[in-house]
Amino acid sequence: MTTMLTVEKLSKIFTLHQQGGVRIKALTDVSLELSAGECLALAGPSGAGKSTLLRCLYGNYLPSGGKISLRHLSEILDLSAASPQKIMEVRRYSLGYVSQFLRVIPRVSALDIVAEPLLETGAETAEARQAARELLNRLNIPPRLWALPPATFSGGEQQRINLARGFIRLRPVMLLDEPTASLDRANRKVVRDLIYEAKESGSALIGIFHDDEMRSLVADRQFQMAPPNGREKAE
Amino acid sequence: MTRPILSARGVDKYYGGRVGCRGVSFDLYPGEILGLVGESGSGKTTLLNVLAGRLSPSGGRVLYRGPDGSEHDLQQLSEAGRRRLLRTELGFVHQRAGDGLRPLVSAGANIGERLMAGGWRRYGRIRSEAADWLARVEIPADRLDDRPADYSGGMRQRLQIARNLVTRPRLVFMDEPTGGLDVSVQARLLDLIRHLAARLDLAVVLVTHDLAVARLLSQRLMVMKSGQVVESGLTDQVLDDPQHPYSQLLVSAMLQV
Ligand SMILES: Nc1ncnc2c1ncn2[C@@H]1O[C@H](COP(=O)(O)OP(=O)(O)OP(=O)(O)O)[C@@H](O)[C@H]1O
Ligand SMILES: Nc1ncnc2c1ncn2[C@@H]1O[C@H](COP(=O)(O)OP(=O)(O)OP(=O)(O)O)[C@@H](O)[C@H]1O
Ligand SMILES: [Mg+2]
Ligand SMILES: [Mg+2]
Repeated sequence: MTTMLTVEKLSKIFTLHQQGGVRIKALTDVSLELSAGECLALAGPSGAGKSTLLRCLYGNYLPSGGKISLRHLSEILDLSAASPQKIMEVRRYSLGYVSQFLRVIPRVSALDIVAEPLLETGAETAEARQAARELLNRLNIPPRLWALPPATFSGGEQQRINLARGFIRLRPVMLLDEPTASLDRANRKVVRDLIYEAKESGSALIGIFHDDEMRSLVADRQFQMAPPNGREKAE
Repeated sequence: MTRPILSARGVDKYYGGRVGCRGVSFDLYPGEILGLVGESGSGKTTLLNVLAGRLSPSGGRVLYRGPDGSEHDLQQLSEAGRRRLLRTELGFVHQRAGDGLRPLVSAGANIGERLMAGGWRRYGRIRSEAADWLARVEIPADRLDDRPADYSGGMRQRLQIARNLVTRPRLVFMDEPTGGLDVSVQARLLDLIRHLAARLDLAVVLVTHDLAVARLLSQRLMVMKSGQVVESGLTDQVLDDPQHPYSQLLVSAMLQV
């Protein structure tokens, strides 16, 4: 199996200067490895650092120590030392991130928000919009909503827009932070299928799943994260 | 990797004994939008003016790299050479639209002037290109012969953007382009800037005090305080995990970005 991602002794400490310099140890010496086609579930109590880990991997949080190596195009890249330009390129081609919350853009329709990742890598507008329609359909977003900016959509609708945007172009490594948190049963099944298809096509996934059923269905392995100051171990 | 379109190295600007900006170094790449944020008086406008060659630095260098790869130190260029660049490959969008427009000539002439500076001569073509750009910035065609003085604030700002972009510049400097506009007008303008920048593959240095605007438009962010850059990085990283005490203060002062 091709190794897609290697994390070695990753640590993250937040220093809150506004609070008199309080330091929060969110991650201590986290090490893991991820292969193509597998899905790893992050488990652990609230505050264990699951989201922090995904954000460090995406370049959204700056690690305080350790190393993140990602397969990018045909090289192995040290993400923790990559320039902002490089991280933007990595996000375009190699690394996807789907959070629970959609960041809406004023005046941009749901359809265009979903199509954007395809356009970024050079797809034709018509082709990108067609792919977006298909995915919105699969996620049961009614066509009457497609042309509207999602600012006024319900939580579950926004989350599905976000999922569509995340899955419209599968990247070799996908990070999922509670992607099904506010979805009903039917839509959770759609997401399950999207994850299956991603694995089939060789993507490696790391996910945080709040519901045990979903986790046992999609995850091949679990990575247990301990509450602050505890230890992490792989199962 | 492509080479930077703009490089600043150790740029200082003093006004007598007062610091405008100090020790600023960075590279900007083609097609990239760099946000410049910081409190009032932190040196954003000063830095922008130095970068655009509108103010001469007290120290350091600014290099602009042309489409053919040639490097230009804006301060070393002749006045005529600098003006030519500023009217063709570079653009400057002022916070007060009036500073970037001629209030008493028509909107069409405001746009056409930059084309003429770029060598366009045929009146008919200049006029139709101006009309085309008016449409792109969503100003009704029947306002082509009106003067900017008769436009609303939001329209004036869009006209200023059209005037700058008509020559297809590669690099545009913007100083608070949405400052002082209503929220709804702002949203429209932001959307316009976002689209045009992507379509024309523009590099932009964008000064704003609004972190939400920075989040929406810029890929990279520099935080300034007392004339110095205290933190820089990917926009979402700086906003979600700010490192410097001042950046943390700035982010925590915002409601939701
Ligand atoms: N941007 C931030 N600034 C400061 N502290 C943060 C930041 N993000 C996370 N933390 C802190 O890091 C710790 C880990 O948080 P994280 O969100 O990673 O936990 P989690 O395992 O995802 O929890 P949950 O299951 O509740 O989502 C917490 O103490 C949290 O307060
Ligand atoms: N022409 C000038 N002569 C003297 N001092 C100046 C001049 N222009 C700016 N300054 C000073 O330089 C510092 C930086 O000013 P600048 O206009 O660059 O700040 P800014 O970050 O753009 O602020 P704002 O957000 O209020 O526009 C300030 O202390 C200002 O008073
Ligand atoms: Mg979390
Ligand atoms: Mg200013």
